[in-house]
Amino acid sequence: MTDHWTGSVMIALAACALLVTGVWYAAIRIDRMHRRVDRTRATLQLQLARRASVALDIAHSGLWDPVTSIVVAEAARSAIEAEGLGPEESELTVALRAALGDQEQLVEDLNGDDPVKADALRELADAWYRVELARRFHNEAVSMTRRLRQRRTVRWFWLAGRTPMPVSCDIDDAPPAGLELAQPLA
Amino acid sequence: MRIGLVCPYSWDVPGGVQFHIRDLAEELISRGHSVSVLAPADEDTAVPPYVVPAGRTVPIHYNGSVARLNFGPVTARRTRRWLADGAFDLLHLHEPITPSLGMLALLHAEGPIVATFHSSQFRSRALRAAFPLVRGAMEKIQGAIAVSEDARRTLVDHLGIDAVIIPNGVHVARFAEAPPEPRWQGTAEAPVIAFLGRVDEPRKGLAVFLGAVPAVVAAHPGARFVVAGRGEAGLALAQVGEWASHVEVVGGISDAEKAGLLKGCSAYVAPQTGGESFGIVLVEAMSAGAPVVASNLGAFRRVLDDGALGRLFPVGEAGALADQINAVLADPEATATMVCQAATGVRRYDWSTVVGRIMAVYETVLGPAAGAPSVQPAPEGGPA
Repeated sequence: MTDHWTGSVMIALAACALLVTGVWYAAIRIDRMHRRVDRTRATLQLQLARRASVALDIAHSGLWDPVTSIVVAEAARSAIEAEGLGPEESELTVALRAALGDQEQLVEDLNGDDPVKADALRELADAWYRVELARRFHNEAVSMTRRLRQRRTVRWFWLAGRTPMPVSCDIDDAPPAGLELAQPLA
Repeated sequence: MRIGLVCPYSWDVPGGVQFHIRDLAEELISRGHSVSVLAPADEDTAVPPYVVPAGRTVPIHYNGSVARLNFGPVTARRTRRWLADGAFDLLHLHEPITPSLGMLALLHAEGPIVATFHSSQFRSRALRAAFPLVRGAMEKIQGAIAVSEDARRTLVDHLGIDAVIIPNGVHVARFAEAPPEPRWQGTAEAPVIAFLGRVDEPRKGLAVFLGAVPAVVAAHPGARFVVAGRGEAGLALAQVGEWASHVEVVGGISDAEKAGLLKGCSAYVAPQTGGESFGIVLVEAMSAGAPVVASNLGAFRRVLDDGALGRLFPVGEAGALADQINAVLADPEATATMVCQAATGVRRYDWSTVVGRIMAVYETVLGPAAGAPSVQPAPEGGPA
């Protein structure tokens, strides 16, 4: 009888230990993902701010005609002031795509005999590429976190605490065709 | 920056992944970064100074072929020691879903981790078995890179992970500035049509290539077909019969000879029938200024920009291939335009561009924070 008892207690203890370890691991994973989402969001905001400031510099440099410069400068300024991941960023993207023209024009500007223009466009291409990377990595972190938070262990033991459910960033950051041919910055 | 690269496959065996890691390491070192590569290799193998051997590999049937992999407690211990000694700012793993060093390092490391996925041919059985065990570890990958759209699709479909596409690098200048090989220099009267690749592997398409010989010779009686690549070509050669005098089988060739062949030839043909995820030879041919005629595979179509940078023909159809070769030879002006556009197009594959993009990934993952966390061995017994 006592043997039965000991056996049952051992099994119960083992099950408890297993459960505690499982919950503990899930807690570590969810914490790791929450920190990652915060980091990737900060990086994305920083890269968007850099792209806007490069665009503003080009708009002020006289490389574009006045109408284009005014439109881009206005869009860049709103994006910088908004400081977020909102529609201002998509509007800047649209303005920049129009300002840069089609692939033929862009490749000509990138390889043309105006080194100031080519350098400015390379700087913009670099900033833009980093926006794309930062958004992809952020959204990846968000979707992993959301998947993790739907798991029963996480929901039943309230492992996510009061941290709001992260949302993906769906701004338009598609670069114009040809921008990927810009030589990278040294 | 202190960067730790992890190679999954044996360093002593030549292969695309190993070459990519070697070139990447050397490019990063030439930019002043400190690089250490952990790779499976025997203790007594001669390796470059930046490679740390992780011990001997074991031949294992995996993913449909025999792979030489590296695993077990000794390897795990060495991996942890390498991580601790390296004090890396960032870890860059290759093929972390293959049960070898890449996966081990992922399980045992903590901190900023980037991973490159090369293969587009995961067997789902192997993957389904492995994935639940490493799903948690996959969350540690902060920047995923796929080398091609096909590789990315595989990742999204099988693992639910999205990745940025950064293609394999090519030293464009090495091909663009290579001296043409006099033996295989094409002329207007005697154009040289080149094939590169294993001759006894059917999916490389030698049979399709040779099937195009009669129709091309009919239009260009001086045409020469140069077949370069290792293997036994007898079976495929038997089919050419009376046109055999137009075909030259040269066997395996050196890197310099390959560049010279591509530089001097009148057209390079890629008649592969499947199983290609990228097509690095097409990029090399375009860098050398060779007009490219390739089968209509997804990977090739993307490299050739849907036919703008080279001519495409339906997979496996020798007649259509012959038509495209004849078109390349018949219209030098159109061909020159195509080659010129290809020379611009390949810039995105040049190592200078590729390393710039990989560095951008590193910097994005490290983020703006000063004194960002660096790579450390994970606590023993913690979650993967």
